[in-house]
Amino acid sequence: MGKKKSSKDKPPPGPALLEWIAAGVGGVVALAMFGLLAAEAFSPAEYKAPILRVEPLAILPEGNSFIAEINVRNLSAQAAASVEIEGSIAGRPETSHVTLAYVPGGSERRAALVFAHDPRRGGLSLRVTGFEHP
Amino acid sequence: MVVDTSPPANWRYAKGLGRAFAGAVIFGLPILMTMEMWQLGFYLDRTKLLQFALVNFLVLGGLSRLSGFEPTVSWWQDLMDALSAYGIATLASLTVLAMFAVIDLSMPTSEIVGKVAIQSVPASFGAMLGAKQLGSRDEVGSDEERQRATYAGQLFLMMAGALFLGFSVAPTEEMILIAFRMSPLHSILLVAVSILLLHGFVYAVGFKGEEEPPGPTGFFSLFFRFSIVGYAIAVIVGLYLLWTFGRIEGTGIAQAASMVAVLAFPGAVGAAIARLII
Repeated sequence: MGKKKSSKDKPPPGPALLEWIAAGVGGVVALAMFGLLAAEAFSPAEYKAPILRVEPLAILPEGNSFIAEINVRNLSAQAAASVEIEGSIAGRPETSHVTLAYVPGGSERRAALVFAHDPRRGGLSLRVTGFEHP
Repeated sequence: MVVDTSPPANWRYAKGLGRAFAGAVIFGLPILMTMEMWQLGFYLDRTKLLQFALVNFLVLGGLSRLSGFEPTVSWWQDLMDALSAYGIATLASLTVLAMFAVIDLSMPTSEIVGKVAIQSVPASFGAMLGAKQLGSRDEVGSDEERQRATYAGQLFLMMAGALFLGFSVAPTEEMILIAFRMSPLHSILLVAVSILLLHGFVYAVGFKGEEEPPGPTGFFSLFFRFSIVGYAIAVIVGLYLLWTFGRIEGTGIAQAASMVAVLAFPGAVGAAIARLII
């Protein structure tokens, strides 16, 4: 009985020091996350379509075929899904295609096109033929 | 405000933090390893992602009151616990995603923040619950039990359960595929089964421990006050999740209803078990 009474009279102990530290770190993390999301959410609306640029990186012979490594960059903040890329060799009827699942805004993705003829002869031309809005 | 610098109190809290980290990883793993969840991180509309993160934070505060790190009595303790859980969840998600090479420094900040923000939702649930679930049972305070036993407390737990289980499936392609495959008859059957399952948990499995449900305990009273209301909560949460993930925009009402019926199934199961495990 006496024990109970004394514990009631005493003010409850404050939070442990570690609790303050954990909550402080959590607070900084939460503020950073919410702040970064809010900054993007309320930034002025820009052109709402992905701006995609595709460029060749290297062309490597592999067996009877040629692998053209390519890089796709998205210059906008809008993500693009199912990005289709077509590559062709000037002066030849051959074309190759590749589809990238996603190219997020401000990001780049690598892919490769495979040709039967050497794209280094005549020159390789690359273009994005379509994409989906995610 | 007094700060407790005694080693036992700090050690106890450190153990709580460790359990929270484990909980974050356990609850987060299935979602950390799902491709759709990474993709949502970069394409989901930022206003929607921001409101979702804020809603998650409010739910954390509520969970802290009813469960969580330690018995809490005041709102600022709930805030501190919510911040700790959110911080742990964010750091755990960041670590695991970096290990999986899903995020790296070459990515724009927006993509990294988006991916981590999505993952920290289930991980923070895990952090909050892990602190308690992986610990010993008798740490639950009597005040907490009293709060849990209220009708509003029970409804809140059902909402949190529906949100957690619904969230883990809502963004997947399978969700929509299932809705496409089902005929209206399938949908009706699924709704009926969801409600029955929910009621089975409420009525047959009963209430945790010696807890008695608040209010009258007759069949109809329990059925309407818990099972039907619980299902309604699962439906509202399902609709909210589908809206957040942009799944219902431009979708016909019949198809949207079918998707809600699909999502309300895990939602109802989540609502039912939340009252038992949280």
